[in-house]
Amino acid sequence: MSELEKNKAIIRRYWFELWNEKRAEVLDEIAIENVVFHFPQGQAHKPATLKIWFETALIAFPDVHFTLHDELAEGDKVVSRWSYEATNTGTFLGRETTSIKVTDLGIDIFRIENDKIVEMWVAQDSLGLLQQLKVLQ
Amino acid sequence: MSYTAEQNNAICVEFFETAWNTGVIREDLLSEDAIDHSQVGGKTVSEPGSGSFKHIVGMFRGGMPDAAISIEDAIFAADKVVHRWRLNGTDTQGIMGMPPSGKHISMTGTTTVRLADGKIAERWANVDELGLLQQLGVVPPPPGAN
Repeated sequence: MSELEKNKAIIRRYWFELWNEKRAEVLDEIAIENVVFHFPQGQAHKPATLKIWFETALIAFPDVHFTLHDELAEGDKVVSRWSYEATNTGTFLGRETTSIKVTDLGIDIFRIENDKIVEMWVAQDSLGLLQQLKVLQ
Repeated sequence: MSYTAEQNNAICVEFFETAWNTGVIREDLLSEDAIDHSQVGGKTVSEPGSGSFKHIVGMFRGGMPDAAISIEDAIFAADKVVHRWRLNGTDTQGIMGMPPSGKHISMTGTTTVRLADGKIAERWANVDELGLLQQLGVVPPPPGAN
């Protein structure tokens, strides 16, 4: 397998095995502990580590399911264009559970070193999420 | 003629730098039925053609006539180009129909483009609209944001 295909396969494990199958143990196999995050200024949820992100997201949205629409790899980077559907059946940002179904679209860039995710640039629609949850009008 | 990924990236750099920095939409670099799938500004329907590209550029340049884009990363392969960018400008005229704030704005985004025959055919984008509204003072940062 070429390096680019190998990197794409790591990121597919991130979306499918970690997030969709909710297999927390995959995290250590595909990412370093302290992945460097680059969030947009307006990101609603800025967890300190990928593990905390995964755990707190699953409290708020236990049924979150991602669809991967596009992937490309060049050098040490992989880009994923994704969407998710989820139901807010747990607390999010300290708020009461709403049971509202939400959806979002985003484009994330991953940098991989020695077969592990070391850096991520996240671009998603936090404004749309907070509007769907009626936190913002 | 087929275009390399490097050539496709150069076409995107030319198109988006011209669009954001001068307001000119280079129709010669757009497919006739080019489509901008981005949902910025609450857009729900994307009509093919240059109109939606003019609309989104106008929405921001109309408010910030000094807007300038800086492309911070470019990743490209085959017919796709991804740009991670930052748009800087001063809100002297009012963005998205809001009153002018006079504030300096620095907004990030990531864009994926599909090219066909050396022209932009499709665009998907995520723009940090919440960060923009926070900078404008329209919404507070959400709890636990930092």
